Amino acid sequence: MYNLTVIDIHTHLWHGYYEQNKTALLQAIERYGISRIYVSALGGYQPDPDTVTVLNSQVAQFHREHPDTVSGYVYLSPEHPNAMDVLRRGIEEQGMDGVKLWVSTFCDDPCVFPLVEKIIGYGVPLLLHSFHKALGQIPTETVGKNVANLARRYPECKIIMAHLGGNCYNGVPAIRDCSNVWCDYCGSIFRGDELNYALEYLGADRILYGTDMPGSYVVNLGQVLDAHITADDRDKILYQNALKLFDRDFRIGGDRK
Amino acid sequence: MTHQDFGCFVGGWPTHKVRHPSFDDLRTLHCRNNIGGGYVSATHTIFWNDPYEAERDLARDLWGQNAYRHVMTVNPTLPGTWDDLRRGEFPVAGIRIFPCFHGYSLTDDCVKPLWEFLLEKKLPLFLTPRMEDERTTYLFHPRLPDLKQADAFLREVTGFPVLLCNVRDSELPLLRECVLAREDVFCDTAGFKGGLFLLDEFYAQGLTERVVFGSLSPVHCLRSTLLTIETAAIPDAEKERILSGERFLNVLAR
Repeated sequence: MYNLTVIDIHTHLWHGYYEQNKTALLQAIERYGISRIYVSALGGYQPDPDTVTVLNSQVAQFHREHPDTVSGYVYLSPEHPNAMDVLRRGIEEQGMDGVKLWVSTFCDDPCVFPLVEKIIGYGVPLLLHSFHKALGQIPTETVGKNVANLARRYPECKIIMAHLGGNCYNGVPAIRDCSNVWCDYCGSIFRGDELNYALEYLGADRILYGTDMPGSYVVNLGQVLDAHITADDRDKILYQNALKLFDRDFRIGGDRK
Repeated sequence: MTHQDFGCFVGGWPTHKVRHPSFDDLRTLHCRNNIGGGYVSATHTIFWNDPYEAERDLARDLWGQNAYRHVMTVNPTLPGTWDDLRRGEFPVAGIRIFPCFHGYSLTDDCVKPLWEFLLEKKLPLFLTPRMEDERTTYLFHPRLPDLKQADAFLREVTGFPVLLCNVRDSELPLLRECVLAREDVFCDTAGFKGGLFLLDEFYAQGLTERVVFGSLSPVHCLRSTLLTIETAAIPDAEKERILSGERFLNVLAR
């Protein structure tokens, strides 16, 4: 579609819907001509360790079945005693290319720190759900200021703040000075101006294309096609920034604060 | 037939910058996306103490613009509403209401004169339960839409066409029975953002017969909503009917 190269860095398999979600994602890859998707599996705000094992196994299986188009994030509940083992297994044995945290803890909770140190060593990006809500905020749901705290503590960590922080006017200002934070603008919020707003503060180099599929795909595509940007910047967002960020040899530095 | 945007706006938004708020911006955006005209309201009418001030501004914008029709916003809780409606200063193609913003229900006594007016003038009602996603509101938090109330309203209050605006894709199937039970109830596409292949599913359920293109631009991204239609695996003729609003326009022409 539109003859674009697209890497979608934010998609999901939902617990209990593996076959259904897998079919939909593959159908979307076909219909929309997506080059690669990065998938994490989620199930419940506080999944138990057995559920986490199942979730990550499903992502690994999906990746094994479609290695040319499907890459995986290892999902972690950092408060679990075995979280470090889950991380090690995900990256070293299951072939995952990134790490995903959702809402089981704030991302700047101290239990996350040892995991981040290991993630830095692996050279893979850390995708953080981040969503400031006027309504229905989950008690341990990360928002932009939590992302900023973690980013300042670990400037070597390649962090992706998802959803522009939910409400972009809350999320983007929190992290705009953290050069180790990239953003995706995925999800069902599709205000006409939010991508242009993020571009003004972050520039095209720090924005990634993600969709939250099996949520909508075209919602986020429409935003980038409508944005007032050059073709070069559009391509950075659609795939080039992702290629760079997921390259394990691409390392970033900085002074810890 | 020309493609029509049945849910577009001019004006800013009180809690963030709108980069392209004017009528000229809207026309340019429509032109770029092969949309020939639309049914336009003013965002300021939601918030201004006297919404008629914004209606007058919109009427000036639309003067001589044959491809665009004015949809007037009514807040029935305000004292000047009925006088404004009867003034007839400018042509009006429909009436838009925001019950969740303005704090009344569809069964309140204050709205009954509006139903009589719509019946008398044979005008459609643009029922708009939300604008921005409720999770992202700031300072001003409208009430959440009440689907049961909308269902009862569509069953009990008849005689004029109704366009449901910015209803979510997850909400439309819940209203399916009462929507299909009438010939003059339609839904725009502005709120269809929750999943993959939504129009494919609605087509299979017979619901696209009641869908027209509405963007909620500039509050929402027009291209996103347009792509929902363009990329659907449904017959091209059905896409054209949605984009032209042919079925809805036929009802309005009766």
